[in-house]
Amino acid sequence: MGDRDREYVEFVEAASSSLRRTAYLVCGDWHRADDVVQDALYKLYLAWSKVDRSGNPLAYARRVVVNTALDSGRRPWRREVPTDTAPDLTSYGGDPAGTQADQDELRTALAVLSPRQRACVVLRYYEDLSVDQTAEILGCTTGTVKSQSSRALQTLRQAMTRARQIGHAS
Amino acid sequence: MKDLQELGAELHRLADNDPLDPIDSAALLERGRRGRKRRRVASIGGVVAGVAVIAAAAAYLPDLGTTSGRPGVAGTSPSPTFERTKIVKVQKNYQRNVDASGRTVDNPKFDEAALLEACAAKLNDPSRRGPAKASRPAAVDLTGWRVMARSVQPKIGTALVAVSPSNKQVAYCDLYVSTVPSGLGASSYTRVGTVTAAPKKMDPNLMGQGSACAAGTPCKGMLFLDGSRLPVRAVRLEIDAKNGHKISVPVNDGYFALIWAAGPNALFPAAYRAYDAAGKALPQDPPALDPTRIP
Repeated sequence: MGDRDREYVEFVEAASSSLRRTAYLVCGDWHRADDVVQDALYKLYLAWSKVDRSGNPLAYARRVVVNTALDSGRRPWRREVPTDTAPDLTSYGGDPAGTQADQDELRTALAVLSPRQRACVVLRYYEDLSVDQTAEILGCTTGTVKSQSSRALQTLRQAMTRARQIGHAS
Repeated sequence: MKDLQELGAELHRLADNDPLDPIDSAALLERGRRGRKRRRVASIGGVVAGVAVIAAAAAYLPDLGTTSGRPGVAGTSPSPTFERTKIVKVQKNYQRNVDASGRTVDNPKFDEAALLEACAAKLNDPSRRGPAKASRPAAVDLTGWRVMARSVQPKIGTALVAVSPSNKQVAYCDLYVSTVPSGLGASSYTRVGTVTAAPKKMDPNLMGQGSACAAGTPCKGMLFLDGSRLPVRAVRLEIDAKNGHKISVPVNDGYFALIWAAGPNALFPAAYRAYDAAGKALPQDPPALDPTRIP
């Protein structure tokens, strides 16, 4: 195995779990997240010589993962359909036993967000990236990131409040 | 602010329940290697197809290869058949590449003046220069030039670098024995240019020129063809095709020439290293492109 391949394998082993968690939060399904990360890591291998020289392969990989996750949602068989009601928990990888109520509420709330809003939330509050870094990954302006994040947070608060009310009522 | 911290913590808790097995890095590596190979094959195929399209288009262009840029007058210009016959004859003259003693150009003792004459004939061949350059009146004359470096491949031909008496111009040539099909020298690097200062550092991206030996050619695998300038302290260049075949060519004032049948399964571009008079390898950065194997 050459140096290039060895470095790539070391990177995959170190970063793939973290990238899959990010992909899961963006796309909402573990199996789809797995596909997304594998596709992204494949693209990364093809561009590895360039990426490795840039000195921060994780940042590049994260960018590819997020964009691949957003692209995968645009494919016809996976296209997300806007709805004014929160989907059933199981459609976002829910917990039928109901033992993790808080997480289910968050999952439900995340599912209500548009894919780009979800990506903003994940990059800003899960990955702890700055507005500038988030804008760079998503290929948009910092103003767009701020407005998307703000709307996403507002929607999340409303959705979680509603989910809690439904939970208390039942 | 507090609810943002809570959101972050909730997201971490949600993402920590990964139910899947770790990603198989070996399978991913294998997939990546296959993808890279496919890309390379596709790019080589694209180049071949592009050359074929250009060649096919050029074949239909009228007056291609004529020495005059003026349009012909009805009844006075030679017929296209006559022009073509003349060009083929010129090509055959220099493709025969035999000196006064009857040595062929693949012979290391081939007369140097005859070598320069054959190189000039190839440089001046209108069919090689293309329609735009063919109308240029200045012909290249290599009389009195010095051969700085030369490489010979038996049964195939020779590659050489020559500089002008004023040391201002340099010519690179690859010449073939008459039995070699013309397709083998398709990626010929025969050219003339201005001498520039020798580089201070080794170019890490050499050995990327050559032709695949097709059926009917007196070689197998890859025929490497190169000529360039290295730092002046280099005295020899060792090239390794990583298929068990290696070659060492002399470097003179930084100039080297290479024509080398490296055999099947050669690494392309081949690995190489230059050495100074003390036998010390000159530092060299890694190449931009990863090599591939040529069957």
